[in-house]
Amino acid sequence: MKDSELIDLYFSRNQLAIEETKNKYGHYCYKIAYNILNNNEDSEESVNDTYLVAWNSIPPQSPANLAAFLGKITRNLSLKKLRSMSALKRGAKNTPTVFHELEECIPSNMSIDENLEAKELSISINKFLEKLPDYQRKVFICRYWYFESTKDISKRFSFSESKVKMILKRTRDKLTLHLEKEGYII
Amino acid sequence: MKTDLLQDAIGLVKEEYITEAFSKNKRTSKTVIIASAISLAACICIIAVWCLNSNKETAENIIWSDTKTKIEFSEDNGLVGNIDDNLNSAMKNATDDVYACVITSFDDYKLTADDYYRIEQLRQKLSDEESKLSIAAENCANDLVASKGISLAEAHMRIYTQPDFKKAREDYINAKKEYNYANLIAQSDIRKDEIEHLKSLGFKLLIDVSDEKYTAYFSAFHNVLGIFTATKDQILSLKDDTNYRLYGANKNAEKFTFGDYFSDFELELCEDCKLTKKLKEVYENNPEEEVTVNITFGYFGKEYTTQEIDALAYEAIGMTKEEFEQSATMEIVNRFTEIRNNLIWHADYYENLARKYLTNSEYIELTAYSGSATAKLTYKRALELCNYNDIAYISIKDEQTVGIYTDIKLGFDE
Repeated sequence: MKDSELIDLYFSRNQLAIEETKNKYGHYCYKIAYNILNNNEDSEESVNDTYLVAWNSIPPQSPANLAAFLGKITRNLSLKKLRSMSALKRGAKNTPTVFHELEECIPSNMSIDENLEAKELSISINKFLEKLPDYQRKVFICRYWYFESTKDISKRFSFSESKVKMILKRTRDKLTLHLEKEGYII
Repeated sequence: MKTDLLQDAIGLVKEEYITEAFSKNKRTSKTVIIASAISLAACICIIAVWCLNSNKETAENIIWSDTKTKIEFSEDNGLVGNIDDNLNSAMKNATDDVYACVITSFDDYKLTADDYYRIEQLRQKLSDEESKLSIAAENCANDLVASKGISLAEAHMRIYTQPDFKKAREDYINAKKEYNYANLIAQSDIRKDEIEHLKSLGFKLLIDVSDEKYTAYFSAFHNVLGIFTATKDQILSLKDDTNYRLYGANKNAEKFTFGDYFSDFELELCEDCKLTKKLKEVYENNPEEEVTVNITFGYFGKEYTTQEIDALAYEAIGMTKEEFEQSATMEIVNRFTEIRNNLIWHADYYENLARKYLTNSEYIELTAYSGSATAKLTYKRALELCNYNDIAYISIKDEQTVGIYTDIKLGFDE
């Protein structure tokens, strides 16, 4: 089923919308959730919550990119769930490493302006991503948006794992410089 | 946790970035880069010929101390401060005191509204040419497959000579030049300031990248200032200046090979056989020796639809789709993914070909997702294998690197 047809189902409040979303994007959302939560039950819960949020959001929203729209919801819900857990140890084995890598972007003697909103920061990150070569941007998104392991990324792009790690390291370094220059890290 | 905000912000990046990252990547199945994968803004890579030998060393986290300055270098993923691994190795190993380096700057360039509008139009034109190039590449490859009965993988390697592709490539390069040049000119004032600053530190400008003939190779969005010559002391004086990145080699390198990722196909085949030109050169210099090569197979098997692949994968794990969705454990999900990937990559097909054409002593390993096998072959055996239609082409192992690099001979007049 085409995305436009799926969205029509949401707009006509037809409950088949959820069934069809599950058929088309169930695995995709599950993978995102599992990358973050590493737990079947929690991941399934996140994915089911995703359908509910989508049902409540469309209409009025009419996403131009349904995959990204659903993926974003799953990612947010899964991260929220993870943060509500007592410790990261319940997350995927990969997740603490990803968190640690992101922490490296903010030097230990600095922090992010706490008054800042994620939306504002994302505008700056978009500017940063726009300047990156395609393959670096894709690798960055696979790691820090999808929380994929470096091994999976290396398979996806036919790079060696060490190359993926090097790309990520260099991109993080660039991001730190970018955020410092834009005044977001203080 | 202080990264929460950063995670949330990354969660809000443009949707196109989210979908493009997860979309099927042509490189995974073809081991070639099609021009559509060209990136506009590319890191400048400088690879001196001898540096290829030093890569192994630098990957091992060497810590060394410069004898003259006593500065200690600890390598982390190839970067030492803001100096890249090649230049770092050059300074470590070479006795010369003069080096050449490309310097990029992290200064922000503010564009006027007029410049922005003009550059945006050129960006759009470049993007259109990229699409045309990609379409021409696919059409030429398909024509070759139909007319010569060769595999798609071999067709991709032979595409350079096709008129439609050559024309599309030329148009793309011109659009790229226009775009890069417009960027460089729009930023010329600040670039001049930066270059003057470096000159005041003793750096000598060897190549000004705003010279039109170089603009196809540099992307202004990565703020390349130019190629400079400098002494080791001068280079080290910038070691901790995070405004710059330095990439380079010593003067004994004789030439730099540099370029950005404005690439087409990375490997070039000989006209009379399926060996890459580089591999043939290696064999001609050592005709009796075994060389570790990458053999890319052609695919002439059945093309499965996604539905067929899913059906076969469900059958292989002995579950229906509904059962899988309701009760699959992570172990089953992983098994399902593995089976599915093997079907997508035609792993069995390529494994059979590797077994058919390679002896046990020749065979090293199979890389299913790129449809290729690594093996040790003599020149005679490699030429023999070229005769089989199932073999698409044979290259040196790891011959393909990202990007096309253009040689520039350096003139050291010191």
